[in-house]
Amino acid sequence: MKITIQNVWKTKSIEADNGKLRELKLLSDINIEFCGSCIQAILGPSGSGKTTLLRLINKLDSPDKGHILIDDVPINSIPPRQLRKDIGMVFQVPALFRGTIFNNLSFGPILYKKEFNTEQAKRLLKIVGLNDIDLSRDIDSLSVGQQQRISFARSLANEPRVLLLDEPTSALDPSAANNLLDLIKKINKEMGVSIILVSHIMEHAQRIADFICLLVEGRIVENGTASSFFKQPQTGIAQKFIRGEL
Amino acid sequence: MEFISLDYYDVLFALFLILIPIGISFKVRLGIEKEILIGTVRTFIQLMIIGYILKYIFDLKTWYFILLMVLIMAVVAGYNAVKRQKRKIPGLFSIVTISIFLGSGIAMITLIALILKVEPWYKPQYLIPVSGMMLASAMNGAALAIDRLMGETKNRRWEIEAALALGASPFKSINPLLREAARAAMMPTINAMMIVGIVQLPGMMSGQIIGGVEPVQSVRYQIVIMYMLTTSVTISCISVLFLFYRKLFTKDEQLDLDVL
Ligand SMILES: Nc1ncnc2c1ncn2[C@@H]1O[C@H](COP(=O)(O)OP(=O)(O)O)[C@@H](O)[C@H]1O
Ligand SMILES: [Mg+2]
Repeated sequence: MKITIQNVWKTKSIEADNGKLRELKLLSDINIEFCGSCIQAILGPSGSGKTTLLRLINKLDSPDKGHILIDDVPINSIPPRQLRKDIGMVFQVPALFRGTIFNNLSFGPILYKKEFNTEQAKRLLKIVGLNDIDLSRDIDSLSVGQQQRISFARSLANEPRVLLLDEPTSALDPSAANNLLDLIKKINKEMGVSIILVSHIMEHAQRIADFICLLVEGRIVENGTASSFFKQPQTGIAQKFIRGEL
Repeated sequence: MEFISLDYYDVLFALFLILIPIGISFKVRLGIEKEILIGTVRTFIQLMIIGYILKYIFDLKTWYFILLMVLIMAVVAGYNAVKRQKRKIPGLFSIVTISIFLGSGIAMITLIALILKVEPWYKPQYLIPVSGMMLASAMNGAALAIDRLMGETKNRRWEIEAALALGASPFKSINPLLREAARAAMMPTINAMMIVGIVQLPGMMSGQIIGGVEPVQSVRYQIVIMYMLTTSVTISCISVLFLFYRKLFTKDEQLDLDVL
């Protein structure tokens, strides 16, 4: 699925200490096209608006101005539930439902009245690298890293065509993070799921992304293929980011 | 039936006794003399006014005036339940009032028409106190339900958004929280059924007994009232939650973070 973002602005009014409302610019004039079948990384320091941008694509928020098109269809003319079935999102926090692992994994299939048995659940767990875990485990008994993987598997159970991943490796140690990244690559290649990966860690994008854009203070400052991003960054800000000075 | 009637001298004597809490508050520096005094005065004025209103209504004997009184009580109950909310939510008042009316209405009709078989049905001696009790419980239930749902939604925002992001409807995504809110709002009434008669005698029952009603008879009344209160609370909670949860979502099926 091709995702086009045109002239998108997003502000938020927040209450300042003196009680007055202040307009905070979260995203300013975002223009970008995400290719239909690749891995696109959105890099940027914390607070640069990455999560905000991702939420717009899944329609959990709406832009103040501008257009978002999915395969050239304006997002506003797609019913939210249909859109969200096709475009899955994995949050920065695990956001699991209370109950067991199986309760969580079966949520989507039950919603769409698809058959879902323990075999399928185990297969999903295997994909996310949780091989010997009991499906009836309560999610409260899991580590945050495990929860994050369950949350990833839960989105996969929906068989989405696009996956929006918001820092999916943030609670994992480096080797587990690399495993998950390789797995994301595999899902992209073997299942044809387009990936939009948000991260503030450059190496993650370097490892798997085909395209990279750099978001700083709500603006896209650099956008192109992964190799050109690292070999010949166009802007001073991108060079700084690559040197780890941002 | 026999009971001891009170005149204003008796009330005046009790008023003197209020000097004791005021004195204690002053002496041990609780600093709540003013509150006690205001409370004392308000109790007097509010109850005197309602006493005369009731006397007037009891004399009227026209059904629409009595029904109007019940309606006013329902609206006041709705207003009170909404007043507790810090955020102004458009339409909340009508949602709450309708729910309170629905819950207490069903319980009231059952009680007045089917159980007590009051003739005529609008006889204020029954209708007014019964509706007062039913409305108050429906009001508390509705207010508690909304409070709890707002609190749960704030705490468990991610669960709701995760469900939405998987393609669930707003109702489906907030369903576990609705259940939680309903349980929390109904629990006080259910607990009251557990302990009634053990820890304290309910006000209505005590009143009847003082009024000269035979204890077993007044107990039967109280049992029926308890069951109807539970019915009233349940219906008003479920109704208010069902109508209210939509306010937490935008038309694009997003969790409306500005409402929270
Ligand atoms: N609800 C909110 N209230 C106040 N500020 C917010 C809110 N949501 C986001 N922001 C601010 O918007 C900016 C972008 O946030 P976000 O998209 O989460 O950044 P990122 O995901 O890149 O770390 C940050 O400065 C953040 O503090
Ligand atoms: Mg973020």
